Amino acid sequence: MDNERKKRGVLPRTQSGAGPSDAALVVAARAGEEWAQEALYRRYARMVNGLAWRLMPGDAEVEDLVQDTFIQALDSLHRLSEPAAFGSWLGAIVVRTAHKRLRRKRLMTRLGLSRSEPIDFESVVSAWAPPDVALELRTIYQLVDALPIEARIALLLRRVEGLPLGEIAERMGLSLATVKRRLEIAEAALKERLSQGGTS
Amino acid sequence: MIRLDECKRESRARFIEPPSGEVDLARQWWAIETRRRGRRVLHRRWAVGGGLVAATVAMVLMVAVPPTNTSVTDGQRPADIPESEMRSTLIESGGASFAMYLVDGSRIELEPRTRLETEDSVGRDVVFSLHRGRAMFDVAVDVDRHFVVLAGTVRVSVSGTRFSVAYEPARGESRAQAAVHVERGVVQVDTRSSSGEPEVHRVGAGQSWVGIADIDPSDAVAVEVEDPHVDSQVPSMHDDTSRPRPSRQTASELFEEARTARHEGRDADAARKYELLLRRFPRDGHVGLSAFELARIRMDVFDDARSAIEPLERAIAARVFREDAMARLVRAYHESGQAARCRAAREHYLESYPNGLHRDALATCGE
Repeated sequence: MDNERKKRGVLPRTQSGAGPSDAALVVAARAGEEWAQEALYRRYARMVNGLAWRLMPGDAEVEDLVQDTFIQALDSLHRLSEPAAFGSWLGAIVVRTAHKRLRRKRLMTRLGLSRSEPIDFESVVSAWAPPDVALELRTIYQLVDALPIEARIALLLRRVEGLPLGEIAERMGLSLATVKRRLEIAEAALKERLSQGGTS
Repeated sequence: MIRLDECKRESRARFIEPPSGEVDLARQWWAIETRRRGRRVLHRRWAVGGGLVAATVAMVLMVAVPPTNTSVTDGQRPADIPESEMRSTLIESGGASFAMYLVDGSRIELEPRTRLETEDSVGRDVVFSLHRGRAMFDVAVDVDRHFVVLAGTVRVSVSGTRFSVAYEPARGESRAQAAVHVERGVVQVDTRSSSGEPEVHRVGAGQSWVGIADIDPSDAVAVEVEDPHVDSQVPSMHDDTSRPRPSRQTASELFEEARTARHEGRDADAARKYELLLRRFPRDGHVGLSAFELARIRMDVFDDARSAIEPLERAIAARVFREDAMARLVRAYHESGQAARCRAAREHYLESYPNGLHRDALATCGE
């Protein structure tokens, strides 16, 4: 590959003009090509930052969560059996890393070693969200701190990310049946909140 | 019963987006790269010296420690400062003692109310800092690795030994004190004499060393005790209140002393000062140049290219003498027999400096 183009961060062009596929980048990254590693980061940075933010909105640890995700992914590329599935594999890493962080935070809060900060909805939910969507989202985020962590994550992946159950199960590393059980808990609590007008 | 659809529902994600911009993403990538480089160095050390302490600690604490009496903090490097600071782990016992094992079989036992922290290692050492209390270390034999425990300004380095270190921080008029007792093997205790000269004490089985551990070099006091039956708890020392209270050296002072030592040809002293600066002040502005100078001493004076790799990476991350540091890194990999890493480092250098000063000299490195 042309060194000048690599230096400028320009990816090699395929015949379709779309740039290398994820599989090609993963293969190159595994071989130690730093340009490919950075390319993977740039391609998925917004996805990971967005998902991390929505799982832990406004949390000071979001930046660390994102960095941990990419570090783990890039250091564990050899474990990815299907290079073409890098995107969903990365999404699973975000979810599971967020799970660990949330568990630790909850433990630290219970031990009195840290405080749980309430979510500032005005800074989290977009101002141009339709009123009914804004109400639903505020209600979801008001509720999540009171939920078990797996139920919290399952609810956010379902209601905010809009993922199908199978993908939620894959990302969380749980069986479909377990995800359904977690969601039932969360959806029941959400339904009750919404029926009260979304107030706590 | 709530019915759950199987089809994908509409995503609300677009209404909740973080405030990221191009500048933030560039900085984020830089931070990721820097941490990955640091992890690669750390993983090499742990593979030789003892495994992942943080994972071991987390596992042991979840099993062995009463949660109401224990605090664990994962130290994290700041997100907005361009350094290669590594993650550290703070281990604190509460009302009960507990033990943990490293992957190499080394065992560490903390007495109640003891606080121990893993440190950013320099070279191939495995380093802990004892902030207070007492810990027993049963260290597996490994002739290529130094297992180091810091207690204030006292440094204990061992291999294949069972020993304990106690440290009492300064309180009011009392100075910080440290005590080392050896049950098996021999440990080396580095400290300073009353005249400020470095002193090395070899403490054998059944022996103890006790001394002051929060001192300016001119105030060093060390008392060596050889009675095998001596109580290894830290005794209360008579405090000379007429002496000025010693203050810890600043990064600038360490840096100037290191430079003076270098100019006077005292390279070992200079290296120690740079190491101390890097360990105590990992965020200071002198870090880049200190790391670069330390690497030069190790490569050019001590002929130890392998131990120069980590400080070179820190110098590169700090963007100090970047071209020279990158070229030296290529050489360091070459001289330490790491051909693949040498080729990768050379590629990186040539991408960054295609017409660089060292281009020709690096042409055959890694071949």
